[in-house]
Amino acid sequence: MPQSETNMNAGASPKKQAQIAIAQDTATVLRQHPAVSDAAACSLSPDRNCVVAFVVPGDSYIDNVLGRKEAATSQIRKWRKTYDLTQLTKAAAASPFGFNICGWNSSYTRQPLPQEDMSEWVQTTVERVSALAPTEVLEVGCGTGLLLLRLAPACKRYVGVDFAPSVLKRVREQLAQHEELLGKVDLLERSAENFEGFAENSFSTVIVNSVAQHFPSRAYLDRVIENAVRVVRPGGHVFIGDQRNLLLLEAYAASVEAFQATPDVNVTELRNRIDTRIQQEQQLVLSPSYFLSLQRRLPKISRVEIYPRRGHRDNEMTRFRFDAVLWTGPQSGPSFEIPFLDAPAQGWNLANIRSQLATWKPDRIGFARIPNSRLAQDIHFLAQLASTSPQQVFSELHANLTEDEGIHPEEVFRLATETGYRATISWASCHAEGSYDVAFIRQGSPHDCAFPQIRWPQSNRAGSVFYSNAPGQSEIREKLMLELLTYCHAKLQDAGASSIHLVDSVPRTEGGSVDFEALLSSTQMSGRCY
Amino acid sequence: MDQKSAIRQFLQRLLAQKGDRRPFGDSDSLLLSGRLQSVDAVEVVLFLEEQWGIDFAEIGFDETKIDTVDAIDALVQNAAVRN
Repeated sequence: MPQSETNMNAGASPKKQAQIAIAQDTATVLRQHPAVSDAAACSLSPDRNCVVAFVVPGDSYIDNVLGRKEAATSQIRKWRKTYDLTQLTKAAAASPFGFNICGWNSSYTRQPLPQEDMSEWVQTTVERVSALAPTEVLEVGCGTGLLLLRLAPACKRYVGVDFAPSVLKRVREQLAQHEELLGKVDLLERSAENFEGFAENSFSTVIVNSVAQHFPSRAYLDRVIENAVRVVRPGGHVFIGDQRNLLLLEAYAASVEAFQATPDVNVTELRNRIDTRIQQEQQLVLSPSYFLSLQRRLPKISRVEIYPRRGHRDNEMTRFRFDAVLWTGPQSGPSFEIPFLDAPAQGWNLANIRSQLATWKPDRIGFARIPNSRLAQDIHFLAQLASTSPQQVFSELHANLTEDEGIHPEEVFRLATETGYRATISWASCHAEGSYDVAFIRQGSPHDCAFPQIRWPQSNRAGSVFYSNAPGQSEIREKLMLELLTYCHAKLQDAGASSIHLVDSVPRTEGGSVDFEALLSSTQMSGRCY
Repeated sequence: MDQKSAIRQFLQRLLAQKGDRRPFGDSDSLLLSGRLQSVDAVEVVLFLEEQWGIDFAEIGFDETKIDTVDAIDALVQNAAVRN
C-alpha cells in the first residue's frame, strides 16, 4: 500500500528519507510554477531517483501562454460548420415537425441512429427536465428544437441559444407553425459561453443537453457552468444532460471496435485500435466527479446528482451517458442516510431485492455497486482482451462472450413500481465498470419525493483524479510536461521528478494526506510509494 | 497545380493526419466508406469554401458530392459554371 505524505517518514532508512525529501522538494518547486495549480510527488524506489510527480495544470497558463485559446476557436468553428452542414441536407428539409434528428449518427454504424432510439432519447430527457418544474428556461445549444418544442408550451419564457445559423433557421421554421409559442420563445445565435444580457437569477432552469461534448476544453465548460449557475435563481437547476462518461471511455471504445472488427483481427491489433480511438477522441468526455467537484468551487450550488440515462433501447446513449443536475440555493431539507447493502459482495439480485422489499417493506433501503447489465458484454470483452493471448483472433473472443449479467436499470424502476417504491439510481459514487447505486423509498413514506436528497455511498477516490479527457490537446500537454520537467531539474540540480503526470485533482484521504494510492491506480502505475 | 491535383493533395494530407497512408484512386469512396469521418467532411467543406468560394448554404450539402476526388472535382466545376 502506498504511504501518505504524513506517515511515510516514520522509521524510514536514510536512503528512503533522502528520496522522501526529494519528492517533497519536487512538489514544493512545482507548486511555484505559474502553470501549476496543485502538485504532489512521491518516490517509487528507495534506492534510486524515481520521483513521480502529479500536477494539476492551471487553465489560464494553458489557454494564454501555451495557445489553447486559439486552438479552441478553430475547433468551435469546425463544430459550427458540422452542425450547419447537417441542416443543409435534403433530409433536414424533409424532417417531420419537432423531430429533426439530422446529424445524430451512431458511432457503431456511422449511420443515422434509429428513429425509435432518438424518440426514446427525446422523451426520457423531456420527462427528466419536466420533473424539475421549469418555468423560465435558458437552453444552451438548443439545436433543432427537440427539447424546446416540447418543453416551451408549459413554460412562461424560453430562450434557445445555438451557434449554428442553419440550425436556428430550422427551429424558426417550426416555431412559425406554433403561434402560441412565438410570444415566449426567443432564439439567439451565439456561442455557448456568451451569457451577455442575461441577468443574475433570471431563469429557473438552464439546460445544457448533449452539447458539452462539443466544447473545446473543460475550461470552456467551466465558464459555461459558472455563468449558468449565476443566471439561475436560488431554488432552480442547471441540467447538464447526455454527458459521455469518462469512466466508461475505454469500454465505449472497446464496444465500437468490437462491433467494427472483422473475425480475423487479433487481440494485439484490437488493443491498438481501442487505444487509438481513445487517444484520437475529438469530444470532451467527462467524469461524474467533475460535476461533484463543482460544489466546492461554486458555493451557490447546494446539491449535485448524477443519474445514468433512462431508456430501454440499447444504444451508446443509454450505455455510456449520464445526466448531471445541479441544484442552486437552499434545499428543502438535509440529505438523509440510507442503509446501503453491497450488491456483489452480498449476492443481491433482482429476485432477492424484490423479496426484501415485499417481505420487510422498509421505508428506505439502498443497494450499492449493482453490476450494470447494459455494460456487461463490453466489460466482459475488455476483461477477455486483457487476459488472452495476443495472437488470439476476434472470432474466438466473440464466441466466448456470455449472455447479459447484472441488472438493467429499467428493471429496477419496474420493480420499484410493482412493489410500491420509488427508485433513484445514481452514478455519483464513480464505481468501476458502470456499476450503480440504487435507493428505494416507499411511496408515501416521509422521504418520498421526485428527487430525494440521498447521501450516496462514499465516492471512489481514484475516480476523482481525472475530470475529463483533453481532446486535441496532446501537443500542448506534452509541451507543458517537458517545460515542467526542465524547470524542476533546473531548480533541484537534476534531482527533480523523473516523470510528470497531468491530473485534474490531487485526492486527499479523510485525514488530509495526499492519496497516492488513488493517484497511482488511476494513472495505471503500480508499485509502492516511499 | 491543376484543380484535381490540389484536391487529391488535400485529401492525401487529411488522411495522413489520421495515420492513413494507403493509396486511393480518383473514384474511390473516402467518406461513405468510413476512411474519412464526418468531422473530416467539415475539413473538406472548409477547404472548398476557402479555395474556390463554394457556398454550401446556397447549394445544400450532400456527402456523396464530396465522397471521391472525381465527385469533388465535378462539384467545383459546376460551381464555377454557376458563378
